[in-house]
Amino acid sequence: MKVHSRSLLNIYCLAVTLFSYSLFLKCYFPVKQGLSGNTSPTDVTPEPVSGRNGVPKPSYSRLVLMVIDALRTDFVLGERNDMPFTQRLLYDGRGVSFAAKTHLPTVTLPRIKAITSGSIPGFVDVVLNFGSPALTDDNLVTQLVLAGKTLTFFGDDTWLNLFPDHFERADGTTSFYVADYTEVDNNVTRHLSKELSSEDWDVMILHYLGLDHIGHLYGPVSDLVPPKLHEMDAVVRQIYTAMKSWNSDPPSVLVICGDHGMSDQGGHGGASPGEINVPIIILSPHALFQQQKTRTRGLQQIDLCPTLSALMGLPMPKNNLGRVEVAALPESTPLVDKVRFLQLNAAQIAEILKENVDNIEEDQAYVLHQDALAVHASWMSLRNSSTAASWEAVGARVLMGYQDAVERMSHRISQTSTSYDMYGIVVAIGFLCMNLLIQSLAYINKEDPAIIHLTTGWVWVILLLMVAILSHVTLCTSQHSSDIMCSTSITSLAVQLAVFGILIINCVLGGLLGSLVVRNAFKGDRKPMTMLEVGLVGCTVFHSLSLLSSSFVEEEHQTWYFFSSSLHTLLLLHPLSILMTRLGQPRSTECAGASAENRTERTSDRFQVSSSDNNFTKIRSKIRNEEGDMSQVVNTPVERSKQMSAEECVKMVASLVGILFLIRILRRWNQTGNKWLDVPDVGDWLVRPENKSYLSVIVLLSLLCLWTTRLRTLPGIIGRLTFAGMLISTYLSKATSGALILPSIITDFVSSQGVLEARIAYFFIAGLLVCSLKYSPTNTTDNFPAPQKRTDNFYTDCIRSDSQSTISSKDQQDLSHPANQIVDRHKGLWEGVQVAWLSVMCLLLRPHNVVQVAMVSMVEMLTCHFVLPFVKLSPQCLVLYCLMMGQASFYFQGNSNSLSTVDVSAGLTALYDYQPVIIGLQMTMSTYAGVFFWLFTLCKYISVAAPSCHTQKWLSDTYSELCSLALLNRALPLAVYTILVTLMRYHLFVWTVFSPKLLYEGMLSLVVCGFCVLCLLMERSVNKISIV
Amino acid sequence: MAAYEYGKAASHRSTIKITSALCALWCTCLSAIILLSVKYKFPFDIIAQPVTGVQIVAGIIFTVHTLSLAVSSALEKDYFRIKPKNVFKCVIAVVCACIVFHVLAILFGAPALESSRETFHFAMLLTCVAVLPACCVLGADGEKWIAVYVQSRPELGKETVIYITTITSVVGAWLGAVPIPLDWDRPWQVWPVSCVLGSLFGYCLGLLFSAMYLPLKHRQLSKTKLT
Repeated sequence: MKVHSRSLLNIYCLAVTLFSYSLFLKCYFPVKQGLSGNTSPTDVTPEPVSGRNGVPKPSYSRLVLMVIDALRTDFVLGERNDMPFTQRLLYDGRGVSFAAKTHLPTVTLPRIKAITSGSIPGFVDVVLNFGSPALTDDNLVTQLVLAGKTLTFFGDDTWLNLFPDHFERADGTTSFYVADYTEVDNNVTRHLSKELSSEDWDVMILHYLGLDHIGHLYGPVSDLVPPKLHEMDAVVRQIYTAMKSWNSDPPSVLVICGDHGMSDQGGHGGASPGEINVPIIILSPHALFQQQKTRTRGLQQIDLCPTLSALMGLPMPKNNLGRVEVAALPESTPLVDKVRFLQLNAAQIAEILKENVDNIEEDQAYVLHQDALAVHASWMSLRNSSTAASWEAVGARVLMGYQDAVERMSHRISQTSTSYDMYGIVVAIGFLCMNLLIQSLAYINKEDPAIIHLTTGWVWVILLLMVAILSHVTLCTSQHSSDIMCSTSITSLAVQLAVFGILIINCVLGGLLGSLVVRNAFKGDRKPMTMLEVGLVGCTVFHSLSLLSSSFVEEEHQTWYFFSSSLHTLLLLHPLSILMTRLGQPRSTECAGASAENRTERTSDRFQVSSSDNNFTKIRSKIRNEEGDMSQVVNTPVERSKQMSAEECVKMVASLVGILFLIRILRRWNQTGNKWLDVPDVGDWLVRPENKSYLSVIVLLSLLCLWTTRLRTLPGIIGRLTFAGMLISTYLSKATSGALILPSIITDFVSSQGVLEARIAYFFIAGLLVCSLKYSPTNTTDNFPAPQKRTDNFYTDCIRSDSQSTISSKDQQDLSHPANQIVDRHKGLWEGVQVAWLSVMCLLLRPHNVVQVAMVSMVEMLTCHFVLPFVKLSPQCLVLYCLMMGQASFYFQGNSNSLSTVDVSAGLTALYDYQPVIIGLQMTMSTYAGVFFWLFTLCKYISVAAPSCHTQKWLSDTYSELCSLALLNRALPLAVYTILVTLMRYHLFVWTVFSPKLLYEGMLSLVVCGFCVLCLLMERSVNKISIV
Repeated sequence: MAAYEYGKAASHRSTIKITSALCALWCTCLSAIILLSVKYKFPFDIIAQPVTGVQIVAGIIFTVHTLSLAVSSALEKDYFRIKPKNVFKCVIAVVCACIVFHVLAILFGAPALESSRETFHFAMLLTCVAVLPACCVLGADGEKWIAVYVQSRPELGKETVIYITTITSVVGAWLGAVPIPLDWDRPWQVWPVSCVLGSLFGYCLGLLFSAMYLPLKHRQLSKTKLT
């Protein structure tokens, strides 16, 4: 069982990659520790001079907070007139409106945290968005409860997870059923009439999700947006009218805000202007507001929290970084109270600053605060001695002074409080780099590193361990101490143990492999790399280095598109040169081109498949057929191969040009990235409501195209029918959810949401998989008992060793039979998996991307049948090629390195209710659909390329090599990128560009690791057969 | 560089020297013009007005090559090479190359419809630096074309120069596309300026390289011949 040393190494590298990357993420995105405890209303800084303690009287006693998910500023405050009632009220001075900027990421959970606690939540809250734990930091809702208010809540159940037991009455709607944008809001609105007439609550919070869902499904320009805004306007009218009838003493207030905006593509999570600009509207029938003569300075979304606290007469939450917006207070608020609110605000933020800055007295922002306090005191003492006008003028200056101080301190805190766990980060980066080194050493060193002699090295190992422990203790006791690396909790101890283990193993492995490589460095000559290989490796390295630039991260799709075009152009040179030689020197056989021909001769007939052949997918059997036919028609083998080759060259050129054109269309299908995001693309045009019929026709055509082109690879009539059924149910499921047109006759028979159809489609996909697994090639090998002449393959010719040549030819036949079976079975399996995956892509991707599935499938088929047989790509090159095409397909789909392009709606296919695991799985599958497709394709190419002798060994070796290469291919960008983001951690773009990319890289690594596990399993299964 | 091992050392040493010197001269002149244009927007502004810039540069390159062809055939008393039929063939080749480059640029991501004028001028320039010199040197002789470009066996001398410059100018144009996505918002990042400059610089570098490479290679070849 010596095979396993390499796969052990693979497993080890896989584990280390995942471990160190998650350690890095954990340290790079620390969960922020805010100040604990709640501010109490009595225990606040007293007012200077007057010595007044406590918070000024509240302006309002009843509050309705209406959060409309994904409400962009321009939906309400722009030119459009979709919320006429609200706009009328604002015009009449019954309220004030602000355009606020949110922090990143623009995802619901962090934004709710920002609104309620006034703090800036960490980036990692995106991940927690799907399972939110209760908010324990001080926040507005808790303060309201502590102040004895009664709260009710209706809307997104994220609030209920964040604030359990805070609400008297609550009805949560789940935010995960994106396909529904009507019911989800009706479930909120239906409570209103009853609640508005009852007097037993003080604060009501509403969170409407419908608009966000429309955005996710159809984008901000959809026809559905204006009616939804009108609906929201009607809700505002209902609440406002009810408020009017309430007692005006104490008065009540309605606050409307968006938690985040919506990008021009409909998603959110990124930093485009549409996503980070949200309106804040404060309406009250009982109060007058100062008319904003001049534009107030830019508001942050976190300012809403202290402002609401001020409106309700509460102390600011402890971790608040926002500033009280004076313009939001009603006009009747006395100036002393306004100043007092800002004083409280400043004092509370100064507390946080004290925690974060060592030398507080010298801090400029803090000095500003002290100055404001001094001016405040002198102003208070002047209260009775100066005229009202001059006193107010000075008061306005005090106000300004406090505002400045608050903003400066808040800015200072957000700069300092992002404390990175440098110890953990450095360890993680070290491991990632070591991993890269070990994997490249293992790759260079073809010899099996099975035999490990530790006898001489044990002294070094113990020495190393001692040094490591010593430095660990030193670091932990110094100021670089870290939470995850140095504490004594169980996880931390486990991490520390793992770190030491990995360090030791890494050093031993590195030493061992390094010495082996050095020893073998001059042994044996390596073949020089072809231009294609140089290109592929160069592209991979260039991509990793390009991550160093933030614009290349934003525009990463351009890199991959450019590489894939260049690569196919490079491939084009090969057949063209052969053709040219042939045209120029039709008779000569001594030209240098002949050597190139010789290379292709052997492989030329391998993939030659005529479409008229009705046989099952046995390409090999067809080849045998054709070989037989050909030998009758053409006399000399030399001539035959030359004729074939010319024809094949033309075919190859044609298909490469076709691939180039397809890639060009695909890259225009979904415009992504940042720089050219607003350039109109095909997808935008297709999803417009007026183009629904075109979309339906084009989707139908592409499904048909998929069916016809993939028919050949399906075993038997059952498989074909299953595939057809699957495609039909996919169309039905997309049509019933409203995206495509459906004849009215069928409409009566289908469910309303397309869920049932999607489930049927999944059932058919399972059927396809079963078909491809059961597919057995025995009948074909029986049909062709002729001597096996399979010298045609991609790379290695069989080298018949002496022992084999002594075996009689009959024995050889018997030996090669099971080998062929294995190859056939693998090929059949992977082709089946490929078809099944194409079906999954059709089902999960958005309707206009179904066309893409057909196009990507075409590219793959062209490559498989007309390109790869003639260029001898080594398995290494195939890995790089497929990973590159996978990345390109990832971006073809419209994905980008911003979180806003993740298609949430794909997660809900075939689901009636919220099931987090399935949703996460489906979202991963749809986002990385292209990558998965090309990884499965890679396996297919490999099994097609297997040679006829030593098949098992070749296959198992290649699977293991695939695994190590895919890991190596990941290790390089991971190592480069983690170093980069660590160096750039104070860069302006760290949250908008670099951090989302970190998450994407992690996810891609996870996907590739999954593939590696699959490869290792396949290797095992191949070996098992060889033992049997 | 293994390809040059086959290069014949048939040419005289003086011919090689002249070719090399001419290459260096031509390289200096052309790069001076381009650098002037890039740095001082004089005598024309290739960055702000790439179309006019390309027209002028392409005109210069075209004139120089036709002139040199005329002069060299006059010197070699080799008039029969310039036959109307061959000229026609070459013109066809140049036009085809232009179209192919245009299509390739679009396939590599240039706007398909919007700035087709710019794209076509880029294709024209690339043809001027990559194909036109070859037409002048190799003429309409298909076998020579195959020997140089397909089998990579250019004869040491002019053929080596065009072989090298074709490769470097195409690679230069390819590399010219790399800075386009960067967010520097410079005027030269606009399509097709960077690619035009890339191909021109590639061409100049190729000329420079061949000016240095030719004498060295010739010396090496004649040495091996002696021994």
